Amino acid sequence: MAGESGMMSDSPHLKKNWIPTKESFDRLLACLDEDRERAGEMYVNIRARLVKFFEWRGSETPDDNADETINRVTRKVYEGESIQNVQSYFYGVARMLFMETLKEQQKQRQALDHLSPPIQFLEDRTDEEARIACFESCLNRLPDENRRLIVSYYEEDRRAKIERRKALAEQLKIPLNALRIRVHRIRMQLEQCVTECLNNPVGETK
Amino acid sequence: MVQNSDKDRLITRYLLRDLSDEEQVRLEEEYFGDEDFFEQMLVAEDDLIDDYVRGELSTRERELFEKRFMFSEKVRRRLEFARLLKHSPAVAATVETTRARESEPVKRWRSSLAFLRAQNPILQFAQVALLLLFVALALFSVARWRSSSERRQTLAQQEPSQPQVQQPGGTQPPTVNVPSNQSSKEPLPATLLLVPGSIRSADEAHTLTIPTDADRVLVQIILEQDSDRLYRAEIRKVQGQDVVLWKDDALQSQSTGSGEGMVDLKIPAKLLTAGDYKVKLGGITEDQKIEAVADYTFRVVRK
Repeated sequence: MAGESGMMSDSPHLKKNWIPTKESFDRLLACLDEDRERAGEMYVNIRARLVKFFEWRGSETPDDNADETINRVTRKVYEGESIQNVQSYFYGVARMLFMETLKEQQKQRQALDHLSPPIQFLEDRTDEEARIACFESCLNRLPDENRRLIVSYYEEDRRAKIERRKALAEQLKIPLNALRIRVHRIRMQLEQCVTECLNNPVGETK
Repeated sequence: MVQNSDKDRLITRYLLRDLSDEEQVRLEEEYFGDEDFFEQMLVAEDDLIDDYVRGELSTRERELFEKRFMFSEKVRRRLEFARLLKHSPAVAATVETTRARESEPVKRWRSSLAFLRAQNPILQFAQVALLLLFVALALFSVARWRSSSERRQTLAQQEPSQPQVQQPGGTQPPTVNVPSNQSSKEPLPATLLLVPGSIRSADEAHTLTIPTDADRVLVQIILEQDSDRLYRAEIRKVQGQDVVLWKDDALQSQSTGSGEGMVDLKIPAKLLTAGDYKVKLGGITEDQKIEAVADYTFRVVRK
């Protein structure tokens, strides 16, 4: 949170970039839930959904867009707007913002097209060894149960994969969907560890 | 792409931006209002990335994927991760360990007997008879194998120059050359025996020669005393990045019959390229702590 009071800032993408204050942010949290801890959790969940929304819609700056959406909603709450369904409200604001940024993004892309060839997906072999080392180190840091689960889950291809996953779910006595979510969480943890390890090659990743 | 439900298909189409505006908005409203559904979306995104890496998308899906994702640095990183998840040697090692555990004798018996359920009595009787015959044959084969193995051991003890076992206080590191598969029907694992008191420095490492066609390596560690507890072993390369290449946290020792114990480490051969390796064995205490038991160094030679 920055700024002494609600302020406007310049942004190439957005007409009005209002920066929330601590007070306005507190009001937003209070609007999310009476319990501050639960409100904090809700805030984190909403932000995650906003980032993914912008990413899936093709925004080049999903994190910035998510923060700007939150700022706009915070401002509305601060100014006394009555919000019935806060999640739908966030979604509505996000959609509006996306439409705004889309035009800007298209203009920028057209300009870039004249300047440089499009970015291509090239496999970068130079960092391959570091990536493998980080991945293996992170995989080995997972608790045994999680490591075996994620590896078994991704082990087979195509049809065999589905059968394997069903068998795994039965073995763990959980529905298939719960298994998918459990593995997804382990995967996120592993991906996070690998990213940190690659950014910090001396091996200080916790 | 192989999917579980219509919902998954819809999510995949959303992620590939292949939905109408109306469908898109409906889906977005749903994941904004339902946390579980949002997680389902994230899972579907993982699956989509994996399917791309594994070449399991249809031509159209592949085209949409590339059009949709290839400009994103974040997705490039996730693709690299998905590739690692598919090809890493550490994954292969875990698969190997898990499979070995899954095929424990009790489980094998349980699954072998499962087919007897819900069949007619005559058929069941015939199957039981066959099974008993099979068991009797198997026991006979094991007994024969044991007796010939004991004979070989006795011969080996009578000839101290044999390289298979490094005796305590010995001066030469043991070099174990594993027979190639050409002479036998079953692929044999490359084997190395590590015994207490044998040489531990990298310069005088035990040498394990792995034939190109070997798929497994069996490292057997002799313990001074047999014990019921579980052991943990890990293998690292001596040079380069200090990374655990392979580990197993639930090893059991078997009695050698003379008060000593033996722990078998079954390692996929492809994990071990030529070079020096360290193997560390620890015993797992009742309060789940690791107590150092033995450290060895061995050299791998590829043939």
